[in-house]
Amino acid sequence: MVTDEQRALAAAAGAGAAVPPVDVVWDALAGVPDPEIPAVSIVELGMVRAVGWDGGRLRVEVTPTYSGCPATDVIAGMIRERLAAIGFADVDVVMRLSPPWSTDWIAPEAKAKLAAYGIAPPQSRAVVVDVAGVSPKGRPRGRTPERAARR
Amino acid sequence: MSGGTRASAGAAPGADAALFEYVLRLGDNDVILAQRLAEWVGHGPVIEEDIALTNVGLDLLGQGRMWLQYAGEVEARLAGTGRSEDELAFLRDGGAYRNVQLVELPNGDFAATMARQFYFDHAHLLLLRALARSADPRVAEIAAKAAKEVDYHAQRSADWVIRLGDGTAESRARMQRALDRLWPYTGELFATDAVDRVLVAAGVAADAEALRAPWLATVERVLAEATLSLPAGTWMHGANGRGGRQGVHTEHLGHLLAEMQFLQRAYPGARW
Repeated sequence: MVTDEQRALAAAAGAGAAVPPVDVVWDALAGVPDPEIPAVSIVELGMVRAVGWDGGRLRVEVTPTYSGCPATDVIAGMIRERLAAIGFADVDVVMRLSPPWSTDWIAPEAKAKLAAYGIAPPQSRAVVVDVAGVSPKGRPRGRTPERAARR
Repeated sequence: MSGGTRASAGAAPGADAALFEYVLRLGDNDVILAQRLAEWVGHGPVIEEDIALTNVGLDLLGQGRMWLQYAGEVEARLAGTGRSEDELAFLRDGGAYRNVQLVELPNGDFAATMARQFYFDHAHLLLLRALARSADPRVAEIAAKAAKEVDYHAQRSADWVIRLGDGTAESRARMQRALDRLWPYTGELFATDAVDRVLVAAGVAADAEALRAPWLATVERVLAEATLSLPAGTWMHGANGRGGRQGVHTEHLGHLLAEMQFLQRAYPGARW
């Protein structure tokens, strides 16, 4: 359900006025657990790449951990549900592949939660292969065994 | 748009028509090999291997979905309306499939499955690494994502070729037999036709022919470590412009599709 306030915010954003802050959206997404490892959130796992306003519509960019992840569609649904609960009913959840996810995107504090949950937290290691020449922003460059965390 | 159109090996297709064909080829290789690997569920030699085969198949299925989604978008640009990934996977008959013949061949024994995987994985990895630099950003980002996963597949299948080749007399004989039998299907991995030429010229596709030498170097190195012999034959199926990539398949594909597509054929449009 869209509140009057959200309608006004969206209209303001669409009219080119100052866009509403997205912090409230990030905070809400921090409450969405990973469906397979509920001890950590999708934000902590580094799956949420961007949140922003796009022509008056809220846009959330999400990256899959691995190509065949069967939880991808579930996660998109959970994001919509969580944001609808705080008044954002009309959200574009967009898949973003580049740069590809690796365990280097996992927040440091989430590694302790993974350990407590019984999953050996992946450690960053030296570059084995760097196919795209890309490096996650603000995270160490490298390729790590993400299957340790995912499977 | 008809699902049964074939790219002529002679006439040069337009850029988007070529891209549609090219992306279908990439996606179909993944979907068909994923289906073959899924046949191993519950039949792996040990639980760890059963799960590993399934996980490799799941990676390929995910990659195949990304390619088929993009193919549908390119088709929409071309024809005004494009098919969904599900329509492309479940409602095309064999002649409209664009995978190389290698990936549709039956699993055989574990050695045959790993030999097929070994030949394919290393060509696949070289191709994806090259495509990660494609001028088409969508192709580049899918390839970069997939290459991270296929790098692991390639290491794993090479390890198995070495383990079985440098193993018992029985495992060695089976692996050599599998490598010999599948060898004539490797030529198609490096064949090029008008679709490739249009897209290589545009910087979108990788020149498959140029991947043959590095692939062969890896195969030779792994087989030497495995104490196995490089197959000697020069006859190659489907490398003459009439192979799986042009819609000409072995008799095995129809049987595979009969099982894979059964539900949507029997209950059209079924959802759950």
